Amino acid sequence: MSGRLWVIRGGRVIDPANGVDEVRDIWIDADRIVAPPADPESRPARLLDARGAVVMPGGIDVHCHIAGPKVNAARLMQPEISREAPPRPRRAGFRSGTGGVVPTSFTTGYRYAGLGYTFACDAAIAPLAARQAHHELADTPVIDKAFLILLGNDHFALERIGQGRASALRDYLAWMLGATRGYGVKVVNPGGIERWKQAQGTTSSLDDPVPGFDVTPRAILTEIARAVDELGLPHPVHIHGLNLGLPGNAASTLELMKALDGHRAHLAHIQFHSYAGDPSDQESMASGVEPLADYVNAHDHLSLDVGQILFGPTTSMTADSAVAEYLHRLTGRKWLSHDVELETGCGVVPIEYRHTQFIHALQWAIGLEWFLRVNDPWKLALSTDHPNGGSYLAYPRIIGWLMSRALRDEVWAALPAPARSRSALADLDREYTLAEIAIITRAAPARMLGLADRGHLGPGARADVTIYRDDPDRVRMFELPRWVIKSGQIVIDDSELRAAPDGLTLHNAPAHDDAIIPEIRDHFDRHASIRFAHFPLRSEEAP
Amino acid sequence: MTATCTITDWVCLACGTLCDDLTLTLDPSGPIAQLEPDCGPARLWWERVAQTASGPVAAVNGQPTSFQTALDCAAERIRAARSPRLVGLDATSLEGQRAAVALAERIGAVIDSGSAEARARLAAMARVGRCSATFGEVHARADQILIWACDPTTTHPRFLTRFVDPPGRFAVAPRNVIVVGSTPNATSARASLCLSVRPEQRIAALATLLALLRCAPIRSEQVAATTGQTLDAWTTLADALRRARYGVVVTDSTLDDPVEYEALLRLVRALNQRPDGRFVHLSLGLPGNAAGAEAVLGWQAGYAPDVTFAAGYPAMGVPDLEHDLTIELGSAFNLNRAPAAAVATIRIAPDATVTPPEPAVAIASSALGISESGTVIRSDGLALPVLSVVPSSRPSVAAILRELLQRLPDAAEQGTSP
Ligand code: SF4
Ligand SMILES: [Zn+2]
Repeated sequence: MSGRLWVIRGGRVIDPANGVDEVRDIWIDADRIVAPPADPESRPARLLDARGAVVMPGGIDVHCHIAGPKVNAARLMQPEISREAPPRPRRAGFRSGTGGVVPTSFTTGYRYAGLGYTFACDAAIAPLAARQAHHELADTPVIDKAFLILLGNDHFALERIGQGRASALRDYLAWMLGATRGYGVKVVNPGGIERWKQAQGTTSSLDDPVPGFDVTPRAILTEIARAVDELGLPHPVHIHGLNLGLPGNAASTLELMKALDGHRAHLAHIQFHSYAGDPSDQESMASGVEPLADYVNAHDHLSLDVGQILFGPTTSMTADSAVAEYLHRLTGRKWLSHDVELETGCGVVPIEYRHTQFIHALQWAIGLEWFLRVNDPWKLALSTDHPNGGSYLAYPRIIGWLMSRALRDEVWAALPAPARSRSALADLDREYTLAEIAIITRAAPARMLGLADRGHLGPGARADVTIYRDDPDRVRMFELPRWVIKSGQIVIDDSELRAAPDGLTLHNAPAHDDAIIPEIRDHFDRHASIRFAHFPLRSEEAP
Repeated sequence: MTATCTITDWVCLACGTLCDDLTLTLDPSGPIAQLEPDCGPARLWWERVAQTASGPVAAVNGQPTSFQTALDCAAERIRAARSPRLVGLDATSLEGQRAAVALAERIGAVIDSGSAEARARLAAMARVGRCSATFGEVHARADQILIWACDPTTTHPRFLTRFVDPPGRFAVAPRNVIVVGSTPNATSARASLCLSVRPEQRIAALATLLALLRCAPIRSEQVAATTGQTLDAWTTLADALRRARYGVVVTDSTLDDPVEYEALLRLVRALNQRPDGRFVHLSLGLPGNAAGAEAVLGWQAGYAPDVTFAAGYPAMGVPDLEHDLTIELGSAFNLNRAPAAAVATIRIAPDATVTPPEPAVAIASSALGISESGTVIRSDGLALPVLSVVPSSRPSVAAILRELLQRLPDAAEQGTSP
């Protein structure tokens, strides 16, 4: 083995999961990080001189949208975005593609790698879209991937919850993950999408009924959270709550947090769920972060990603059809909506966030408030809900705002006064350290996803490593890593993409009682437009 | 004589319904002994495509040759071509399409879908968006079905019987079916309301419906003159649409006017402004895997249905170019496909070596749905696995394209690694 051993020498290693922030060497054997060889004389096969540089684990995105029919619909509905952004020409060993906020799959992989990210989790794949999503992810190179399966409006699950059959629900979730090669379970607007598809509005409180099913959003959330815990899935239930984007939604978010007491849960793009005010009056909106952050600080069952917005044009895409329709009515922009049988909806609307706009300015401040008000960075992950709040390419700018109050103040000063009067962002002096940035961009998301061999640089970890120049301009530092190593292979060298190996798509297939299968088959026979036999992926479809 | 063989849950590729629920019983010699439920185009498709399995594996200039020789010849011609074009992307599996787009990119080819419907639909979608649903949602929820200028009973024989006739979870049968178009036809025979409208009157008809929904002022004489139907008739129709809890407009591949398409999508969107009812559009596809082609082009190239890689990166549409080489995929796949306008230089298809006109290089592939496995996407976006049911020694389209790619290496080596 030692013939393949090589070393990253002399960098400042920031590895918060192992309590490390010091100059040291990182040894790599094939695709793993290993302990330094016992023999001090042993010579590495290669030496990468990282003196003066900052060495971190590869970045991990806990919540983004990079695959599946909804992302593809966003591309096809907006050819103008692809036309306006500079294309990526083909070169030897690398595929071509289009850019913009919803780039093509190959570009997506290359760009994540160029940003020092080595893992991304697509947060919303309909069970019936899993087959296509695996094809897309196979065409998303360099990074490793996983996706979460939408189950918060799933008829079979809702029926079992209504019947109080916890073990049947558990078996179903386990079977579903195996059948779709999914990684975890996502709940979006529980019961609310079903209600919207029935043209009965959406659910606005945890105790609203879901017509046709004997359940409430509260029951869906708590029962799925319980089932996910009992199955021992590495990632807790991943939740996009109620009333996304509406003034006053902070109250229902606090209710939701309390309802989940006793369960593990991850709350996605929390920024979009943290507004005070009156739902019928946009102008009444204000930050509702403080009480929510206080709750998170006082409890340990929750993790979050922020869903920070950036000013500029982007694309809103969500399984929450009601939200997409709301945005369409608000903005008058084109609107794509697709109802998917048995489970979900999907909506896509172009959106442009403007710093001169009261609501958008406030949303920007609310996202940053979250970063600064949660005391323990291990509870929080950096996300833009790509591309909803903005592209993941904006992460370095967000890092800049977190590390420098002065950079925040520059933006803050240009925001409309009414927005500034509704957020206490200016009172928050906190500035993140590099170690804290390493936590929210790799160590914490890895821990949230239950990825034991990622997000850290200890022996046994996957050799996913990002090496930055220690540039006092932190935005530039994080925009252009000097080297990126993926599974032991140097993929970015001198900030240039040099190799594009295929990445893995991870999944979980927990054990379940096969007695559930005839029930699922019967459900498909009665309600699905495809045969049950054609639903589960065959092993060769998602190796 | 050996026993017959029975295949359950066979996926039929003969029309855009892509039924995946058939039970197929085959004679030992190959023909269909029984098909349950029976469907005319399905039988015809099987017989037409299955018989192609007997031709030579490959031919160059009409002379049978080996697979390897044909591949070498194909690669040589591609290397010599200045302006290649690839057609028939809809005629192969998702796996084949991924390989085909990779090939087109490497050789700087134009991918020409030849589909006016897809061009019109995607252009309209890029202007207004689109509200749509899967077939199962129609089955579960739809109470009003507006059949717009098409005749699914004839073209997609089991679409209505599978998804509209039986009651669904939230919908009782019979559901209200309305037909607008060149009637009478087989579908209008079962409709509760039927309005005959000529193709050139349809845009005016859509404008009338939209005006009625918006309660805009309308002149009845003008309506009669431009739509061929009275304002009363359109008012009756608009009222029916307004009553829909979950309405569906169904069109097919003959809807190819971008202006009409946009008007239709705007009508659906306007119907969604009602607080108590939803409306969606469903486009019934052609046989084959056109939706798969759109999907693969979407994620690999960012555009669909036509893309050119002539500049080394994807650009939208088909440029006005003279082509000196055409690669055609899967011509036997679609019973109704018009014969290619130009003779293909390279044809990769189950019937490549038997169906005229004769290409310079013909490579016979296995046949998806008969002797080839792969993934197809239905026009409503659901992906289905298709399994090989009759063994074949011929390679799949995807495998042939990958072999071809290997013969056309990248100009330079890939980057370094430790
Ligand atoms: S309706 Fe179409 S897909 Fe279904 S069996 Fe008939 S020909 Fe085949
Ligand atoms: Zn999201």
